[in-house]
Amino acid sequence: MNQKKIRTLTVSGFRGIRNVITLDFTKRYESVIVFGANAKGKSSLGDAFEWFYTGSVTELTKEGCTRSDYRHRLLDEDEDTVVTLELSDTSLNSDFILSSSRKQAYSNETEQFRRYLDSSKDELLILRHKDLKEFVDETKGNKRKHIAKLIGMEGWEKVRDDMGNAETLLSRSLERQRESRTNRQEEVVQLIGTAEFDEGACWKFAEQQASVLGISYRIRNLNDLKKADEEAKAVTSATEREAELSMLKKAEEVLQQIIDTPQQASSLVAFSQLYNDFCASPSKVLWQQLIELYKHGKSILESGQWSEDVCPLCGMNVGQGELLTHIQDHELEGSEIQQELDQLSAARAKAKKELRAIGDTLSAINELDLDDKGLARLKAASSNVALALADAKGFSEQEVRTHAAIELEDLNIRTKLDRLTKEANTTLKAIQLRLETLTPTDIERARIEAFQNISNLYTHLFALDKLDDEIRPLESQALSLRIFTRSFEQLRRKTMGDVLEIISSDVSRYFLYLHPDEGFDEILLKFLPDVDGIEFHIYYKGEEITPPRRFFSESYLNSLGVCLFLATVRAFNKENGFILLDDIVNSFDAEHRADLARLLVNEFGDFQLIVLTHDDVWFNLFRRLTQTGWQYKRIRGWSYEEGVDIERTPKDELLDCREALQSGSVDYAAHKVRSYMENRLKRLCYQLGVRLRFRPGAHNDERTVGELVPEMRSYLDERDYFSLVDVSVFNELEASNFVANFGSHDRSSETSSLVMGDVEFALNRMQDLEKIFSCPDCKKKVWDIVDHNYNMRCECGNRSL
Amino acid sequence: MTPTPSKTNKSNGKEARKPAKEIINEFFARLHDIDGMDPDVAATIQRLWDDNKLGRDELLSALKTAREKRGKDESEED
Repeated sequence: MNQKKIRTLTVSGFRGIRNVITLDFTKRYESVIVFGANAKGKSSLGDAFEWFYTGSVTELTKEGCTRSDYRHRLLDEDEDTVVTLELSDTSLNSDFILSSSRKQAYSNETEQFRRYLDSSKDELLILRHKDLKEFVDETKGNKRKHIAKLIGMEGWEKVRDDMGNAETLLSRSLERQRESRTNRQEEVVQLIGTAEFDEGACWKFAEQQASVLGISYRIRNLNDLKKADEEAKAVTSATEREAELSMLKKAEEVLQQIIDTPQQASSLVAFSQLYNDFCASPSKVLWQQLIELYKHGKSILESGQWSEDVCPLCGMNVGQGELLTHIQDHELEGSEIQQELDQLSAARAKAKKELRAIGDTLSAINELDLDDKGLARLKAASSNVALALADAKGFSEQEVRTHAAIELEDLNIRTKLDRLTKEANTTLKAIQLRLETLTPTDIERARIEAFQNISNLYTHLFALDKLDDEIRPLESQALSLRIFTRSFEQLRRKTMGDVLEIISSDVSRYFLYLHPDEGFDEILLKFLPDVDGIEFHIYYKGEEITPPRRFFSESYLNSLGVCLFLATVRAFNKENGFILLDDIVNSFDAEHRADLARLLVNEFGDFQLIVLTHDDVWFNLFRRLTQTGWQYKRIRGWSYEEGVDIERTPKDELLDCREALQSGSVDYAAHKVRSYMENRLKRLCYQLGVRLRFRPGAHNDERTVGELVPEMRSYLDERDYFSLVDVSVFNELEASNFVANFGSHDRSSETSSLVMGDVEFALNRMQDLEKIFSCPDCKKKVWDIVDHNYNMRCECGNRSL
Repeated sequence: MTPTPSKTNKSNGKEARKPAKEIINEFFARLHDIDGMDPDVAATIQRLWDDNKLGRDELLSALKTAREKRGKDESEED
């Protein structure tokens, strides 16, 4: 993909920038270094750039600034804050406008621009001094998250976590089913009297029991057993006495079970207490309600379906980054509440299980069919419990939505269960008395026992069959999820490893560029599967050191931070071929500053760099290192009323002068031309090493044209330069009306004695003056090569001083 | 669109890499080729991924539906 370059960046009304400032790279997409002392509005440029691409400024948001704070304080209501970016792909040009009503919007509303902006949000475009060590100092896990986000693998971890959780839950469910199967099998083992569960033994046992009842066919599967069970029932019910005996035995078994393990609904009570404690806190209920909303909102924001910088709920203008941060903060604040909710969920599951067990007991009671008053009372007690059970089931399903508590006491469920146990006790005694009076014969007892054995065996094997039906697909699904998560994790690690290999290679190379001959062998970024994180490994004189803080000073950590940023830009920035570096040289020690400048110039020549610095030495170093493809700008000053004042290039100033000459205002043109001439003459004096009388402080800059021209002439004369070039341009300049009447006085002087021709004449001579320092042969300046004695010459030597 | 290691690296001369999105999409498209994967489970996961609905609860719900459907089909066959 052809990476975009910046044609112009124009800012007005943003933060410290009151009037229009334009960085213009129209012709060659050059890089630029902007020098400005602290508090001169330099950072406003970087902030404006960030605001254009992200809709907010992270550092300002952290400080509690809102969108209103982006506007210059002196903007009128009808004035907008505007950042305009013109790119090499002109279809993506756009203004980003912030009105006094806090509404911010892009002028380019095309889908193509929206996509470009989305892509750019994922790219690293700005590096600030304070961010340098941010990644280096992160935990291993956060480093991994950071890299994952950069390379578009952020969603991968959610897939891994979601699938891993699903596999865990499915496996737990499978375990529970297997446990139920084992329990059932143990009951079968007890019933048929074998050492372990064996299906063949079951059929053999069933045949033996069936033969007692005169049923004599082979039983080899569940259908055969079902048939035998039905026939056994018919056989044992053939006489009234046997039917009653059979039912009494069944009732005895059911009631004994109720008495042996009386139900207390203790899990339900425990759940209701946890639930009510939670509901008693309005803030917890509110958090629980909002978190669902936030989670939903977060998934919408992360999916990219919502692209506007407006809150989808309240319509307030707010950047998507701010929204996401707000949601994440809310999640963090409620981590303890989430733990309580998890406990509540576990208690709820336990209560539901208990309610199911009670329901099974009630069903068994209802199936008893005996003409017995006690049983009638038991069934009445069972119905009472069933009614309470229905309400209790409703409670167990109830979600924490309001502050309404679960009024479990109103159900009297414990009292009703106690009553049920009591009635079971009474009824059991009556049934056992009846069983004694009936005193079955041995044959009857054997037949009833055989029927019950067949019936119980069928119940168990039928349940086992159902369990198998549930377990088989669960096993297959759980296995598939295990295979999926394993394969996915392998892919994730491999992809991450490949990416780290690429980044490491460049980080290492850049770092060795900055620190040659210091004993460093290599820098690697390694993926650490055990902690699911990433860490730097420094190889120094054959020794591996990690983490970097164990070894590195602040300066070296900053160095590492720059290298990582640049390597990441090199690897991942796909859309944009430009980056902005804001004061990154600050924490570099002096000996490495030149190396950093060289690294940027030599390794990132294919990128468009916007470098902001308050370090004059570094600024000048850049000027020396770079010949073409760079612009150099100085912020001259800053005022609250006017904002940032960037020094214009000589070319810009010359154009201003030519325009002023066309304006018709001699006064205006004269001031423009004088300013231009003073700046150019000062620059020439600096390049040539012209010695001027010392003046303290700011007065040193107050040199007039009338003072600078003769000093320069005298200097050149001393060095015999007029033997090489024509001196007449100096004669003409010094004799001109402009220099004589205007250029030799202070800035408040009158221009009434001048005509426009005088001004134009001076400007033309100034241009002629500049030409005498260029060699007509090699085209280089006379100061192209300067030796330690300040002797200078052009490249070919035809011009020298 | 997400940034990816998209260009030839200066130092190691690696070939252009696939975007992360493409890698993960290919993985999901080839789920059924993974040894041991239940084809129904593979199809369920892939469908949820394509619909941008692949979450824990959504998957468990879809798998439960698949189990119930399979149970129903088997009982009808019996």
